[in-house]
Amino acid sequence: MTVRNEHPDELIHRARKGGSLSPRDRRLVDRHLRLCAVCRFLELTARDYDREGDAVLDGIDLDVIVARTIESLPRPDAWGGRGAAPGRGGGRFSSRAAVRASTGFAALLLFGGAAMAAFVVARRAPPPPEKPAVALVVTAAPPRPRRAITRPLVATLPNATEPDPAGDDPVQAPPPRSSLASSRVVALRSRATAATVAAPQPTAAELFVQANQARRDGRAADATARYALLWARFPTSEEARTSRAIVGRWLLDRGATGDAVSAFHDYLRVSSGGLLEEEVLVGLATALERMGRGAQAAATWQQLLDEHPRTAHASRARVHLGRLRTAGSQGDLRP
Amino acid sequence: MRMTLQEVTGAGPEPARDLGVEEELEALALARLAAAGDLQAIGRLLRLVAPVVTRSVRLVLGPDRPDAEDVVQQTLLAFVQALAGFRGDCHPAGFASRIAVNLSLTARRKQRDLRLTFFDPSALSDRSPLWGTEATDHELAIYRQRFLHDLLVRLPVEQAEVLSLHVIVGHSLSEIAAAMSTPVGTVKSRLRLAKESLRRYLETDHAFGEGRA
Repeated sequence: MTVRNEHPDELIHRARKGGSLSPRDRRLVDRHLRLCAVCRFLELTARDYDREGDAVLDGIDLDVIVARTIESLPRPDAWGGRGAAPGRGGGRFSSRAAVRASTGFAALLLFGGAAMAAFVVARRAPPPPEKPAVALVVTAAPPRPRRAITRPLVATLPNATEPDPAGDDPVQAPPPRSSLASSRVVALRSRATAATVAAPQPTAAELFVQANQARRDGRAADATARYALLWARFPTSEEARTSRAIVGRWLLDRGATGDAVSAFHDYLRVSSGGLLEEEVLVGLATALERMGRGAQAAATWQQLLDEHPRTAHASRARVHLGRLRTAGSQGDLRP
Repeated sequence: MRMTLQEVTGAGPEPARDLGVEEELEALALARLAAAGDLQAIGRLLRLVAPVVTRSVRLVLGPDRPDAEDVVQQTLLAFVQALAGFRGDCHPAGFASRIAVNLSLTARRKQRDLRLTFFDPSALSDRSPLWGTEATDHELAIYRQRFLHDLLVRLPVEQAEVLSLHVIVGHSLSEIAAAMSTPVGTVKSRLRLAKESLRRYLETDHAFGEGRA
């Protein structure tokens, strides 16, 4: 066992809470914190949280929340209680039960009425047209196999789009005609079957993961190709937007400052106010500065401070801004 | 009529009792009454635990979260509903804070879908304040908290729970064990595993370099 694995958690916690430690324990804790980055990080973070104290309660009216909670409590038997004490909450729960029962009855009436109305309308409506023969062939086609990788939740976000599957769907390509020859039906059937067994196209999430892996592995060409594919196929997906920020930072680290600026600008264009905007603005300002475009860099640092006053990069932004303004007043700042 | 503390706990009058112990016994008595459906006790108990719950929720969720109040209320509701199964191994506030941490982590995991699903660990290090050496202590604190929050949504739930209760809420390992009705050894094991994961993340980030062991 090394110092890295033997964490004296209880002693560190006691020291955090102001408890007394023997000189031996104190030495042990100090030595461990000096050598173990994990405990050092956690100890610093814990003290950050302790310093916040009761300030985190500001802006929340606890009385209101408590009152609202009591108001929304279900019946005691629903949460395993042994029933309200006589003469205290009994009447309250009884009235709630009455309200619930009357609501249920009203809902029953409503649904019953709706069902009856639907039945009457259905009886009066003309019968639906018969399905054409081709539709029968289509429904007989084997179902599409499920994709091996489940799409992440974010793919269901309204702004995450993907190519319309109906566009490639062979069963919807020709208009249904009842007079189709049998050979045509067979051809359609074979096309439909072929489409279902073809390898599925990678999703935006899959492309994103593959591109990131290639980037981490140092396969720059492969990564670039996959990012490009992602942007082309799923231009408005969350993955495409996020990857522009990652690619911008990647290019900046590789010294391709001009391309990095383009990628950062792309991100800001498609994701204005996005979650990574702070990081993108820092990257953009850094890239512009390295290119010697001081005035634009200063404007970007200023934009970061204006739009994200609590950013973790605020000090850095102010230092750079001061430096750039000094250079600007001496006429060294290139627009 | 409300029962006295002695009637509920069965303890004799001890005027010299330590205030912390007395407060805890009072809270336990309230919890028993609340579990029996005494609305007055429920109200008092909720007012007692609400600050601890709110603090835990706000710290685990992070600043500027508009859903903080909702999570606090969810926690208080879940706390009342769980009282029947509360064994009294710890202060009810400790029990409530465990629920608070749990629900806050769930809320954070939902946020993760928006921010972190597509932000891989190597990209995380891109956000290191070591980009510049001018960061203030306050900014480093913000960064550390972000880093921890990012880690929490990546850990298994049990490890994230223990790490949050220990580091963020400030419970000792024995307090966590009591709140979770789990042996201390299990808590230690989960914390150790969480630290191993954290070490892997730190090794991709040069901000908190490792000393020689």
